[in-house]
Amino acid sequence: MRRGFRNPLLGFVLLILLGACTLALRVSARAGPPKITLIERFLTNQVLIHFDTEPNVTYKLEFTETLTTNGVPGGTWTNLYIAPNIPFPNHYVIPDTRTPRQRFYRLQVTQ
Amino acid sequence: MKKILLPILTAFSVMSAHAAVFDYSVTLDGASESPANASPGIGSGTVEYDNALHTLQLQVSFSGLQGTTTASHIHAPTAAPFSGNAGVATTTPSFAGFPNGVTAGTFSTTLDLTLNSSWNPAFVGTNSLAFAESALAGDMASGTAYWNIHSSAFPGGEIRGFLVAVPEPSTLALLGLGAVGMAATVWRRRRSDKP
Repeated sequence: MRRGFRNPLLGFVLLILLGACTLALRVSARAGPPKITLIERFLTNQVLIHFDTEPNVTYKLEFTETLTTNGVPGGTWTNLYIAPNIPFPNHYVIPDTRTPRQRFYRLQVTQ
Repeated sequence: MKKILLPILTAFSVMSAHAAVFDYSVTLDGASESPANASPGIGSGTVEYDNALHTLQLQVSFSGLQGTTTASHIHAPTAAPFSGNAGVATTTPSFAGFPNGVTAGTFSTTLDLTLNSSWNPAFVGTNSLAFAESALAGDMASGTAYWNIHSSAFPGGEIRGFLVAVPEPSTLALLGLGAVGMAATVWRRRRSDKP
């Protein structure tokens, strides 16, 4: 007795579904949102920003000196460093100049 | 051949099982980074793991960096030996006392692997420190651990090198004995083959 899908279309649809599930599993396997692990004072006039990266993802580290513009949330963010997409995890240590003003940092995934 | 090989292999495995100190050497440069960079910096060092004292003795000297040093760690494990990148295994944010803000320097310390401060919490996870130590020991032995020096010019690492096992003198002596034994056997066979 021959076993298998009588309808090739059904087999094709099941194959697509299996692929989609695998992709979903891979996406969900990625650890949470990007995270700055540490901001530390460094030498006399610098700070170091530490973060870990995951494979095949591009990260953008930005800073702003204010989180509001004319009282409205949303400051102007300036690019500080882009961690390129590489097929391995890594750890980055980004130096920044310490200023007399406050400075906020954010890390984004840009793919 | 079997008569000779078996005792040699047995002796080797017994000695390995009882060895308490494992020596590694490391040569650091920009070409070894992943991705490779054109840094003119170089470095060399040693790592000595003592599985009885639970210590990791580290020593490195480096020079010619393009940027100034910001941090240094041992990373592990990479997916394959002697290639790829991995997260930080040892002390974060950096080894205590590592020379920062310089392009050349020397550093030596001994990490007590029974202390939390010797580890990156992310490497230990929910496991015990003993498990983390065993994991790192395995990573070093399998060539999936590397020493990385981060700098202002290369935030992901300016120079690095994988830890390479240095054979113990006793192992070398044993291998030498084995070679002598095999040579003697070959000589005996040739002699007995002669009419």
